[in-house]
Amino acid sequence: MKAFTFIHTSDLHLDLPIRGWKGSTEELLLRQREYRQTFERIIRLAKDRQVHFLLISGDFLEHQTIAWSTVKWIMDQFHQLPATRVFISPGKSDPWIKDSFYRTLDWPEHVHIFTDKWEELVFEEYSLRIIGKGKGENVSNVALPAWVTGPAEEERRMMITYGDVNEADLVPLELDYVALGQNHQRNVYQLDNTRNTVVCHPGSPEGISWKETGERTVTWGQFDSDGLTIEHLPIQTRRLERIEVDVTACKSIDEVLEKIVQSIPERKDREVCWCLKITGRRDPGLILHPDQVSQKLKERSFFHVEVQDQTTMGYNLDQLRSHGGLLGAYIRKMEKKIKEAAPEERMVLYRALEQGLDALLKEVKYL
Amino acid sequence: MKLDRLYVRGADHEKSREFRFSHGINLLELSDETDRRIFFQGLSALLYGVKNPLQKKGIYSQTGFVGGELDFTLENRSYRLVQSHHSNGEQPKLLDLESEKDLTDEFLLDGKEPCLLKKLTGYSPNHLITMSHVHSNPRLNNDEIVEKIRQLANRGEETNLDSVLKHLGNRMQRTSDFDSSLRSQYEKQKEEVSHLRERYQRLREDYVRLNQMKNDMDSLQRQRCRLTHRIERLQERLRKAEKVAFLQKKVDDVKNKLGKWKEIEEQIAQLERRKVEAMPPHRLTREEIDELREMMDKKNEPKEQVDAMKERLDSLSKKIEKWEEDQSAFLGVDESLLDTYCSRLEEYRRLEERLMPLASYNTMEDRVRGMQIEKDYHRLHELRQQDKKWREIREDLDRRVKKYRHQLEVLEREDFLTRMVAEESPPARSSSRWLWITWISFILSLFVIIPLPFLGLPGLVFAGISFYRYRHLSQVDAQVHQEWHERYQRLENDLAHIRQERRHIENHEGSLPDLHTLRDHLSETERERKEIKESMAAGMHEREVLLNRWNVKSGEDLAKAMDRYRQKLREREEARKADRENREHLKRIREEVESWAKDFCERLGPFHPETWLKELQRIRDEARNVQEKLQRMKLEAASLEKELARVIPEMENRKQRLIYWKERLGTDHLSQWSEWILANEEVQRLDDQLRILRLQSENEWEKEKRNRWESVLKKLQYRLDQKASEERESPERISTMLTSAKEELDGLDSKHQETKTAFMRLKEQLRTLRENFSSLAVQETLLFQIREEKKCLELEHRALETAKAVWSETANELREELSPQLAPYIIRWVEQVTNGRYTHFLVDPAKGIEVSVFVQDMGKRQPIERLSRGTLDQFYLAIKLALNNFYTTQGKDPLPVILHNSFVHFDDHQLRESFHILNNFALDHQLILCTDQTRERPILEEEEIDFTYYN
Repeated sequence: MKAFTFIHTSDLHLDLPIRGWKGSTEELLLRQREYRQTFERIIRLAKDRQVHFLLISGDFLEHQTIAWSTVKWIMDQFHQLPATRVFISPGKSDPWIKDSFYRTLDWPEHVHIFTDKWEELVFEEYSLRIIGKGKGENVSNVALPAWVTGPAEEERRMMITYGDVNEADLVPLELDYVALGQNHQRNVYQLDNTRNTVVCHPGSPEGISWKETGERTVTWGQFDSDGLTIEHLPIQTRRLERIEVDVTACKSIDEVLEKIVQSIPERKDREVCWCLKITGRRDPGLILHPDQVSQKLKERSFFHVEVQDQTTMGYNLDQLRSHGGLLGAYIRKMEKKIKEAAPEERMVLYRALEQGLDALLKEVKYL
Repeated sequence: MKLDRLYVRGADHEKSREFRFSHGINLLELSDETDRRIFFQGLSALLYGVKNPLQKKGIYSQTGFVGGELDFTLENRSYRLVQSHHSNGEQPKLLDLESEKDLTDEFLLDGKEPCLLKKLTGYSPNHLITMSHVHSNPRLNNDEIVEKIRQLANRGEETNLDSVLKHLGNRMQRTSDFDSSLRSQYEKQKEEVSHLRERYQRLREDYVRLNQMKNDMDSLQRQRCRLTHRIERLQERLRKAEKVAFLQKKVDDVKNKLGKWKEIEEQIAQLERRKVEAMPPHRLTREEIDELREMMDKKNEPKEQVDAMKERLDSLSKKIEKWEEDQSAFLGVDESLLDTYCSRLEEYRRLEERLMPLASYNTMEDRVRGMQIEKDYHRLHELRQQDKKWREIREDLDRRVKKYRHQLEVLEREDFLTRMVAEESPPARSSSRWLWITWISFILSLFVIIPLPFLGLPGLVFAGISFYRYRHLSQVDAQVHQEWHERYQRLENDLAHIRQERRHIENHEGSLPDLHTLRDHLSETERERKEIKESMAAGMHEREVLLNRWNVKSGEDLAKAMDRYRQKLREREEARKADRENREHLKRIREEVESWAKDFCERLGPFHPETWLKELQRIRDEARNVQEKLQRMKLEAASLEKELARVIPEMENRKQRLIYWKERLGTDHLSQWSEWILANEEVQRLDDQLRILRLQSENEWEKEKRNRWESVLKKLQYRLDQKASEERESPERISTMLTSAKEELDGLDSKHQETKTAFMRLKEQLRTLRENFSSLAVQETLLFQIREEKKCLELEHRALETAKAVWSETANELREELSPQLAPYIIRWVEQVTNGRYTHFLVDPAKGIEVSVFVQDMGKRQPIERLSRGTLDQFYLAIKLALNNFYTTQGKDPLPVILHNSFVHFDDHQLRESFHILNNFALDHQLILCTDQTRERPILEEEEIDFTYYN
């Protein structure tokens, strides 16, 4: 029984529009290139390690927005791996539907794309049976193949499919490895059956949202005489990280910047895409524009910082309220409105309170 | 609250100042500008904050303020506010004077410049200024003062909420501007994304179509393969079926052949039987039969023929001899000569037609007319020359007549005017007699009036009337004389003018003769002119006669007519010459023809070319007929002779052959011969048929072949049975199926080709379509980004809008709450300050916030704009006092009132009244009157009002 190796990845979401992007167009284009670079790194890794199989279990592409040039480029990348059999299981964002490029284009010979029906492939030299299925149109529940039954001695079994399968249904199938997608966070576990089936969500290889922070990996696996061994290899081109900085005592924008820089002391971390949440009580004299902060951080060699201003008003409302007169009346009226407003309206009213106080106290110098 | 002490630290070269205040009225006479500046800088900075509204409005500048101290008492506690080194940015401090405790931290406001009094008093700097600071700004005009009064009376405090609302409005405007720009950007981006989505969708759909086409092509290819295979099988089947059909045909052929042979054998036997029956006693060959038949047909023919020919030949000989004798004249005619003379006669006839009539030879009349026209032409020319001369003479005579007439006119006018001037005399004066009558009646009246007054008086009246008449007529006389004088003057002028003209004529034309001589000259010249005119008329008449004679309109036409006559004459002469030559030529032709045709002279008659020509043509035709008939007869005779020479030996030969056949057949009965011939012919026909049939069947080789064909037939039948079991269908049926399959294949090929073309076209389109695509992912991301920005901006806008609305609402509510309470205070204080002259101060929002007051002196309400500046300042002071009074009656410590030059526009009376009011006010409040004038102090003293004086 010959040994073989594989790399398992999923959720690359190539050509996915980035929701909430707040950087410049140039940075966006660079970031889009980085998603491609990550795929190139996966191909290079597969080539370097001479893996026999490359498994992509769902959400490889973004069906609605994928450019033809990207698909062409993907094919070119696959052509660089002639010795590796590639299995793609279409997922929710790249389903096996009528106008999918999976169906309308001629993919290289060594690339197999699973349809929305269960398929079985046998590689006798490796005593390997691969079953797989892609996500089709309007198919939500995946009925597992009934023909995979019972433990078969001397046969290795792998399943490649998108994520929506029940763990309980997998148990009786006695598979060795289940390659799943859908989940952007890595999740690997074993089933309680004879073969101790390894179920693996490799997670996205490159962070797409601020939830996908830290190191991103692909799963490398080997079947040999000792059985299955897996390893998670870092693959991302650029990390996404989140950080929270309290600016309560800061009187000026420079102080805020200084505090942020202190929070990220490592210079190499400036290459990371940061989601910076500014918290605390903002000094009334401090005018904080997220774009301005982001720009100033860029001037300090940060690649990309998305600033989320979550500071609270710097005014001491209790004290201001006690002054009576117009000021007191205004604050009381606004507080009453906030109390009575629907939750989604409250943010606007808080902002209105602050704007009104700014106008009176900063512009007119009421006090 | 009471201010106790103000200490202001001096700047670089200035000494420090200290001011102390007591209860009641404090009068500060600060005539020195520096003192005043330092005082107000220090007081406003410490009391209202360094960056107070007064400083912002430019009323008190804080430039140069370095620090100071303000001691004050509030609610029975003494405090000291210390501002040290303001320029260094140090913050003020608040000390409790009794405990000397630093209270600063207790009263600091978060993130704000400390205004410690705000915390202590509960009043903002704005509020403090509104209530306690009275400053009559001389730079403000009446309208501005009215506006200030209106604001104070309306709101109660000078909180400039307008600027807050304005600021919020500006920000809203900015966000709105930005939002509209962002919206347009968003729409643009949305459009771009939508367009890209469509393009992406179309690309995917096109790829689906391309894929479908590819599948169709594959399917068609598979169908084609299947069909090709079927065609091959059908072709194979067709080959087999054709082979079967071929074998069947061969079998049928062989069977047919064998049947035919059998039939021939039967026919031969039948023919043999008929031959025996038809066999004659003598067998004849075909040639012999033909000879016998011919001989039978032409047994008596040659002899009759020879006889007829000989008879005809004799007849012809006789006919020829007789014809030659009868027609010798025509037979001797030379046809070519006859043709020549016929053509000569035709020429003769043509020339004769061209001959001119002899009458036309006479040209005398034309010559005479030619000479006449030439003569007339010369005469016309002479008349023209003559007319020209006469015209010159007439013009000369015309000039002379004109000259004489002019001279005569001048002389006659001169004579007339001379006489007129000589005869002219001035008109008589008709008034002078009335003058005499006046004088006379006056003198007479003078004489009569004494003795006879009843007569004297009328006389005097008459004298008066006469004098009046004289005056009237003297004016008329003067006018008449004036007119005469003017007329006389004009006559003299005319005479001078005419004399000048005469001199002018004499200078140019010599001295003028007298009138009679001149009249004679004129009549003589006019007579000559008349004669010339008559001559010209006669000449003209003669010219017209000449032109009419030749029916022309001018001399040029006459010259042309003359040329035409000359040309005509020349042409006639030439024609006459040619005619003479023709006549001679005709004569020659006639002589020639008459000499040749003397043989036919009887028939031709007298010479007439037309008749002769026709007759000669007839003779020619007749001669030709005669000769041809003779020729025909001769030819017939020759041919008959030749035929006789041929027929006679033939007749002899036939006779010999008849003898031979009689001997051979034993009879010369032709009917017997005929029967035998028919029998022989029947036998020969049967022989022919038998020979043919035997050729087909009775050959030994053929018999063998027949045997062979039978074996072939057996083999073929065997093979046919075998093949027929393999392919039952007929070749036609298979062929139809094959054609149908081929048509189907063609259809498939065509469909395949169409699909392939469409496939290639779509592929090419896709190649073009997929080029230069923007990334939809990038564009979608940018759209999300703009949408988020837009959302934030809208949120900001809504927040600003809410803030503005809430501010307006709050201000309105406060105003509504405050104004009714404040109004009675203002009314009371205005009445007090103006000593009851102005009552019922009213702010009327219905009339555009009109502020009016009831003026007691006038007994009616007046808008405050109509009042004097001094009164307005009084109102301003009253409202400030009212405000101060209003707030301090709310339970708070009374605030001091600082009056800065507030009485500048007050007259003494107003000032006195105001001081009395202030004296009362000072019972509860501290008053600091700061002035740069000296008039306040004496008035206070005069009015016996207590005050503390500082200078």
